[in-house]
Amino acid sequence: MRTKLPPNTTLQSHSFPSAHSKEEAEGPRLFPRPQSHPHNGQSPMSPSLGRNHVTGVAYTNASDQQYLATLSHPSPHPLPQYATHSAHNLSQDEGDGILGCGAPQNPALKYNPSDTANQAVSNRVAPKSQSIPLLRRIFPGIWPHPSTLTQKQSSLRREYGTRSTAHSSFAKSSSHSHPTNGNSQASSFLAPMGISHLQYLITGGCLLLAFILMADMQAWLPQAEAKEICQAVVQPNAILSRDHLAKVLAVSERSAKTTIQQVVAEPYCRMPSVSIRAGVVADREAYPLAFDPDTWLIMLYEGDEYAGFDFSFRK
Amino acid sequence: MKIAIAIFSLMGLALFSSSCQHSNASPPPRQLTVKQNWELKPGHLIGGHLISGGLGDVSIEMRGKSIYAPFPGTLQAHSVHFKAGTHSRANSTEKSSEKPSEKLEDSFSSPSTPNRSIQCAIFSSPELPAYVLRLCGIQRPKFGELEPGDTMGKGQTLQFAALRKQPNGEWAIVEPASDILERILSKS
Repeated sequence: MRTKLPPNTTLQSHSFPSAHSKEEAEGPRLFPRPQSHPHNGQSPMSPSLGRNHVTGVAYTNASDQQYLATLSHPSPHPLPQYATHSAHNLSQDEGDGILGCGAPQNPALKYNPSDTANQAVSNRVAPKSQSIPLLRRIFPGIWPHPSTLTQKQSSLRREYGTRSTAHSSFAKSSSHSHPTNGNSQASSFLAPMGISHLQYLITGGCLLLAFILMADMQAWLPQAEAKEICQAVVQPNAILSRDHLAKVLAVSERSAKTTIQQVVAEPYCRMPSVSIRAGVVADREAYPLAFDPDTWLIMLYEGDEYAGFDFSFRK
Repeated sequence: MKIAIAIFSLMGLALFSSSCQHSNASPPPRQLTVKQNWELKPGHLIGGHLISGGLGDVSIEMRGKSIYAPFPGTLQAHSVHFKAGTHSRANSTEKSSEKPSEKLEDSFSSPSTPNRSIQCAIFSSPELPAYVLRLCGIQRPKFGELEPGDTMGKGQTLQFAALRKQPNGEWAIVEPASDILERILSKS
């Protein structure tokens, strides 16, 4: 936007010397305005990648899908096949685990071995099972890969998974009929026991964090020393009674200092002088209140002029 | 999984509540009537442009550096109101427009008001009677009780004004001393 000048005027530059004059002497720097954002696949602002980050399951990159599928499942199938595969496992190895991801809420689906039912189950299960590898990528420590599970953990999870579905005799028998194939191991890590481990970790961390945050950290820190506002004590016995306080407060600002001094002769102490207004030194005097020794009346004078008061609450 | 999500949300809640517990309750905004009834003030709009500093404000190039509390005191928000700068005579009603209700109307209801504002804060200290410090252009202000040397906020270009209390309760903009500016710009 151009600045409009009145007619018959000239515009001259005028520079102030400053510490940054060397930097500014080069004249205004023109920074090239950035072009519209180059659209490449690596950009963090790429919409597809951004969606991946937000939802965690909407993978649009084919190589990403493959990578995640290999992470989550030993079978070489890419992810879409994995989803159906999980459903297949479900019909056979329910006790081992994929049920831990929510399928037990739909027991009716377990008893139907037809393809339609499997498809329905896969629709329910697949997004959740896809989110597990992502969690493992984010928390590699607390969300272990199935291959890193110890035999004991696996057996524990099998037991737990079996117990959790013990109400279904079909599920129980099927889990015993296929206890140790690769697919069941992959899905066993989704068993309630695995989630329970994570749950303990999160609960413990949460409690610790809550304790740390809710504990009053101020109490642990050394208390700041009560700062003395006084520079020089004038009259150690000077305290301000209610009557005197009322009279002092009744004095209007800009009155002469002597008007205050007629009510209270000497303050308890003088505070360090400060300069707020250019060329004027402000003197401050403090009076503890007789009826509340933790409260001090602070009066500010500039020269022979009373400028104002305030109450300082000292604890 | 649902349990984990529930625990995460609980943790977030705990974080939120504890952070609320620790931070000082933000004091209410400070309103004050400036004695000098100048036509152009911070927050006014001239030709669609926001005035960030007026007569009496000292502009300081902070370049993102911090400013510090010079005394133990309180930093409060200070809302400057928008005013279109096209009126010349109507400005005599300046003091009446300092009422909060009309300020709100000025700030939010005017259709011509763009969604821009200038952040101002008022620092007052019981150890500094009769004066308050107005800081416009302050960024990330830390409202509440402050100790000397505490960071009040940051800024790119800070508009500093010292105001002195008048007997009638108004505040007069005065020429600030370099002493108080040094206390604000350097950590004591």
